[in-house]
Amino acid sequence: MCQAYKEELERIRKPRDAQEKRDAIRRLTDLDQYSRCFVSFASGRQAFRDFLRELESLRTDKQPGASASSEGGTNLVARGSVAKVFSVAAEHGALTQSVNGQVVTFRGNLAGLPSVLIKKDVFPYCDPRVPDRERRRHWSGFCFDSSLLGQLRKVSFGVSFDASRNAESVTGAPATGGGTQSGTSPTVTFTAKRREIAAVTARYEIWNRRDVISAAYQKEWTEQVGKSPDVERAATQLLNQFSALFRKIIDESPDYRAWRTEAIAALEAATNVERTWEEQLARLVDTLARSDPQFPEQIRAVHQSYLRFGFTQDQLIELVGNQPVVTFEYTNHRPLAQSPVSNFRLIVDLPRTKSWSFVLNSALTIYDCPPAQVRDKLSRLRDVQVGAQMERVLGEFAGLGPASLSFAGYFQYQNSPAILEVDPANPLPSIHFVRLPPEAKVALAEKGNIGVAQVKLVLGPKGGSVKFPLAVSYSNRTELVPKPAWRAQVGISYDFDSLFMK
Amino acid sequence: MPCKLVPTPDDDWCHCRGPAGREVTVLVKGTVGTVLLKKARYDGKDLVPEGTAASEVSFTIGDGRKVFEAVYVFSAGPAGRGELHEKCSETQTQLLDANIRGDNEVKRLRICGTGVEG
Repeated sequence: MCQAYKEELERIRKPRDAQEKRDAIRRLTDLDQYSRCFVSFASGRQAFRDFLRELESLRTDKQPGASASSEGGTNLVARGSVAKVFSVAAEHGALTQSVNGQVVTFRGNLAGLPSVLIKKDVFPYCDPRVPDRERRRHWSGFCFDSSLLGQLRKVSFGVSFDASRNAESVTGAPATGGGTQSGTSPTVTFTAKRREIAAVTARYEIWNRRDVISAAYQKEWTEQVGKSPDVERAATQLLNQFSALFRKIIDESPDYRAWRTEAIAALEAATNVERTWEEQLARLVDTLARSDPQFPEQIRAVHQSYLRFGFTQDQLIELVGNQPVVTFEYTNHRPLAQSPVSNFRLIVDLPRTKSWSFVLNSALTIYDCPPAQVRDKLSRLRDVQVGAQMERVLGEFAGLGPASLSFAGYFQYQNSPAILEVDPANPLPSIHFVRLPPEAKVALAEKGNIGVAQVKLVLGPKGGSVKFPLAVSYSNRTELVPKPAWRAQVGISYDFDSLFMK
Repeated sequence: MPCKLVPTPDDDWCHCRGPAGREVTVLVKGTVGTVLLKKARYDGKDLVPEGTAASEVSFTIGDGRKVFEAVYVFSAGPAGRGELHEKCSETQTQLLDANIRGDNEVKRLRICGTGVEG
């Protein structure tokens, strides 16, 4: 049942006086008042759900995967947008790390669950547009306020798990000196904390001017809405189809007049107004369909026109209201066999155009608690990072959904070397350090700045919520190995937003 | 300049009545965000030039029941709300429809012209 109908039914159920009930019944039964509600009802809800699901799946600007710098990720540069409700991603490949990992990342938003419950009518929503706040409260005594949801929406979280099943190994270089690899190199071990939490992330949207309130937005929107050819086309089509249908129903059909008289009487006497109204609507739809064989097809056409018009309006709002979004992200990384680190990242999503989007990142990483053996040999500030990404929306290919191609660059100033935790009692093969004393528990990797360039293609099936990022990167070195490296990263993600979008 | 239209909430057939042959101006006011008329027709005649959006339009009331129908655009999207008024003078307006909603972008107003005035 659409919102406008719900509000009128509430007035009929709990009127302040007899006049309010009478007025509400007259408005409800006047199809000219809430024509979109009638069209939605008549055309069935399923088509609307399918359409919304498709719209959500068209988005390519969300980051479902792991944060940049994790050992299994496809994102060299972090994006500000994450799933509104929940997403899951599995990714393989490393960017700055030396060990290729396989990481499963769950991301969500604090407003996600309440929003789903509101949509499912488990919790009522305090609609700020309904003027009588007390009446809204009476719906159930508790309701979610839009301002509360707005605050919750700014906070998102993520947890990444190391899902690697096979042993990983690297060949390390000496921490100091330039000696050649020879002699009795002890085998040292990365303590592979498999299937454990690899990273925990919290995000807060500091600045988001993608709103529709500011005077600057209103001015720009007013200028653009008249000029937009998409809105013009959609509005013309909608008005033509709407006009033909409603003229036929209201102005020409004798069935509608008779129905309205009966519907008013039924609602005035009803004990369950919602059920009575649905029965009356169904009766009208059946009557109109019987008397006019073209009615179902016309309803479907008007419904599609409504959706198309709504979509073009939303696109314009998105385009005009698009402003930089600044997000702060904290990630606690627990890299394989290395000291845990905290990463503080600032993400700036620049205003999107129809085809391009740009993201800037800057971050710094500190050691949570460096091992005592090396604490006096290094600074807690491990590294400083900057990154940038530009993404081009490619559109749809045959049989596939919207694809995007992105180019990213990343630079990491390594202030302190990576700390390797050595466990001689539990060695892994193929990890060799030169001149490392056998009793050593900690080794320092060779320090060096890292530069990475990445090209990434994101594909997905048409109308689906699944995305497949495929990327190739080149780096001058990795955190442990001072040699250039070509790497590949692949992943799969599922965004539950479109599933919950009903 | 007095208002020409008379809202008739108890009339099942006409939302308002007015003297045929007289020109009226209707305007839309946004109560949540900005609301404009993207398309508007009275008795089948387009009132908003192509490539524009307007906050007010004028037409001459016809004899008998005629329909004013409009596609509204909302800067706040589905959350947008507005009202349709008759512009009676530079300072005075009369509410014709308080229920212009962003989730119901097309509306009809049935206007009954009551006899041609000279």
